[in-house]
Amino acid sequence: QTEMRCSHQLPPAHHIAQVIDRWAAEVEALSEGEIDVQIFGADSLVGARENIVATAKGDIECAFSLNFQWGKTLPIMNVTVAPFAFGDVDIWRKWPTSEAAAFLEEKLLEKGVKNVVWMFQTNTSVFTTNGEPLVAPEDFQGLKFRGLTPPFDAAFTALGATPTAMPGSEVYQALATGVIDGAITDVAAAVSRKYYEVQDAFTVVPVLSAYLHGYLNPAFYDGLSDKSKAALEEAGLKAAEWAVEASVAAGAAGPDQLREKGVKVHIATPEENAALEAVMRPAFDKAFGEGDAASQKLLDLLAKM
Amino acid sequence: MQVEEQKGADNAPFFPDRIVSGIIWICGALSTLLILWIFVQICVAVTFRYVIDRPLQWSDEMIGYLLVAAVMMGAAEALRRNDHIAIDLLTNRLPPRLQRAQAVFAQCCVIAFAVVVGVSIWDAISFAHAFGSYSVGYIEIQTWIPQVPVLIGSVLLALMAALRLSQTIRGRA
Amino acid sequence: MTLVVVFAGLILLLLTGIPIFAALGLTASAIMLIVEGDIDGLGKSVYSHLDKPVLATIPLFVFMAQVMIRARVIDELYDFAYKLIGHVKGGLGAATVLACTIFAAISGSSVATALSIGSSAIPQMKRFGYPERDALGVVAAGGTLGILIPPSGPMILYAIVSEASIGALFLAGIIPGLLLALAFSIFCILQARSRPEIAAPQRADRRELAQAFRRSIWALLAPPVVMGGIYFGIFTATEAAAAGSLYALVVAVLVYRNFGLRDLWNCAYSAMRTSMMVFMIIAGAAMFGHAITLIRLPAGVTEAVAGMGLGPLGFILVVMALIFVLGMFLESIAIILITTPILLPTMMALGVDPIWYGILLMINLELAMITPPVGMNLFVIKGITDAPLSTVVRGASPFVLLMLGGIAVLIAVPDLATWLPTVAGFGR
Ligand code: NA
Ligand code: NA
Repeated sequence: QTEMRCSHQLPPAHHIAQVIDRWAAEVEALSEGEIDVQIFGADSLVGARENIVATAKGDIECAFSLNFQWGKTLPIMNVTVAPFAFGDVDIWRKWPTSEAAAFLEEKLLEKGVKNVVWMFQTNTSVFTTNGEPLVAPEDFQGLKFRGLTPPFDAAFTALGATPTAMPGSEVYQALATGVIDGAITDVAAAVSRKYYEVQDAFTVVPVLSAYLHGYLNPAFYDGLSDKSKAALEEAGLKAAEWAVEASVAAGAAGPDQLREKGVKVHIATPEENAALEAVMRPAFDKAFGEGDAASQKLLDLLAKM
Repeated sequence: MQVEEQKGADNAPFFPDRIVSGIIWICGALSTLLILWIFVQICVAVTFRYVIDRPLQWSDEMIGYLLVAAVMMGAAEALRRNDHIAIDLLTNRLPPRLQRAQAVFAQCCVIAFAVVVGVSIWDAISFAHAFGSYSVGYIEIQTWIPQVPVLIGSVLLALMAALRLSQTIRGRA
Repeated sequence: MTLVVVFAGLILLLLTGIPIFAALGLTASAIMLIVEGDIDGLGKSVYSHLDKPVLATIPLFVFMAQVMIRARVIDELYDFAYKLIGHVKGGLGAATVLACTIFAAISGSSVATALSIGSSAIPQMKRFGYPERDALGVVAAGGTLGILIPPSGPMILYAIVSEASIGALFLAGIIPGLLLALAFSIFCILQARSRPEIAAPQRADRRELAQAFRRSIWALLAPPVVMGGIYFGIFTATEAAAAGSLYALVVAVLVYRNFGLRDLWNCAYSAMRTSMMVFMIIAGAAMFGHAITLIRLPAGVTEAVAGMGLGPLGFILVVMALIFVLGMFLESIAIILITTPILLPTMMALGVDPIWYGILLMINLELAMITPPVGMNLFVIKGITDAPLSTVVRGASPFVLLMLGGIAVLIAVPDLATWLPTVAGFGR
């Protein structure tokens, strides 16, 4: 029996954390107990920022990261972060067996980790604020927003807002006290982190797409039996489906859960989305930089889907 | 104890004593400056946010890096000034000869601690360097860079403990 | 079994009198060497635990306190407190608890509270005839209120791991915090009655009191500057610590006019020394936490507890006992990070209110700060007074019983914690 320690950053109640637990059980079952999966969630073993290096180095065998956590380490992982670019859920349903995914898996292996599962996390974001929901680009003028990443912040700046960096743990308090006027977050997180207690206007927009992916230390993976490898592959494909289901459910339930709390919820219309995209996208693309050949190839593969 | 230790360092006839104490004092002063820097930087960041409406995005990340550097520069100086805490419930009651043995053991333990931290962070630094991982956020630097102070800090800590050890063995402390 | 071996090893190493950070780190190394055969990841865990901007509050609050002490600003506050309630025997002890309570509403950390109040309160209490032990004990215990009375760093951490509401947790901490402060004050007065060496001074007349108030106004304004800054949304906790330091510097330089560059350096230098001691223990605890998490020690223990088939009350009692034991050895951040993710699913299944549990956890973490062998407030007080650790431990021990009483009362009457958030409209 091989011990496989997996670190992730999600709190236990998060819908994807539950998918991870289900995946772990599936891997154990399919490998007929050859792999003993031990999940360490909520940053308890290795911090979110350390997961990639710790796994590549072999300190732990396995970890999960959000795509944008690759940052400059592997910029191609950030392609889906472009505002409004990947809001279509069908892309994510087809994703795990796509050429695009295979291409990214190859890039990840070149970098030093063996990808084993893709978990689509969200395409439903909310802009939060107090007063009236933020709809038109002008509504953002002069607001302090929690910043996300430098290129996304450039998109905020283009809207006339001021992005302000802060750790996730401080956002609630900063919203409560008015240190910042608004935030963008995944709709399920707006519910689970109880932003509705400190914000009363929410705009649902398909602006950001994020996925969590699970990867193994390559040497560890190579040392596994064929049965175990097959188990990982099968469990990975199943978990990818569960993740889409869970995320679609969480994204669909989110707006109503927010409404139940008595806050204003506005679901942006396609025209409103287009207006925001027209301002945000050029600024994002400019800050993201001219795509290298690999990023361009990935975009082409995605376009084919 | 503190007075004796100071005298021990000041009157030291041995060449390395003063050099080591001096280096460690300088690093302690550097650590103090880093804390003042953090203080000033936070004040400036608040001013920028409210007065100019342009928050310093990189400020928080920078404070994290500065803190690590401050701790690693200052830990050995705190050791030199006997600031680190130990459970003295039992050791207070030992006879002098055993107290000396205890002091030797304690300094060896600090050296062992420093070696563990130093070796494992060296391992982490060299891997991160080869891997080419970058921090995510507003200061995109290679992740091994802010870890270097940990390596320096463990060397300083080991140096200071070694100095203490030699003083104890020579019968000074 | 592993549990017994690990903790027996740590205790043995601690009793040899080596620095605590080294004992924690070396125990972690031993675990790693035995289980993994290498020490990979230990240095990294030190780095990633110290690389947190919010930790800057520690040196900054020490610095602020140092400035106010050196410029003799805090002295006036105690003079005022003394003139206000000093004529009651034990009143100065109660005044210290009051000062800790006020400061707790400024700072999110118990260490910062003990430091800020301690470095000024202890000399004052000794001056008025308090035995060292009592003076150190009340500050060590009073300081722990820092994490129960909002704002609170550990509460935010717990809220993030458990997904409980931070606002609700903050509100939930207020009543238990004030009740505990009241219990501490009453105990101080009763304790002082049994100490003939504490003089019962004369009551100050009106004019003296007014004078003392006028002189202490700059010190009394410090809490509103910091607290107001946080509550009105001007500052985050870290910024508030810097703002408080700036306020202290301005008062020292412009009002008291007794503060030069040399004083600035000395304050910063002593802030550096005190915080390095704290940071190195955080470093050692980080290594220890990493090693025992890796061998799933906390998970094993809590799984065993969960497997006992206890009801909610039995479960809470066992968990409180477990955290009390962990609290003897670990630092609060490590305890939250290690236990919460493991306990939470069982707690949810049993229908335990995470807000209520959060407050029980906070009181237990307060306890952890004053229980030997590893108690941050004990160390901090020792650090600023040079008293033997055993004196601080003995002084703080009656407060351990008071806090255990507090946990018992809160278990019996959960409304003490949950009433305020419910009234304020926070759902579960
Ligand atoms: Na507090
Ligand atoms: Na303790």
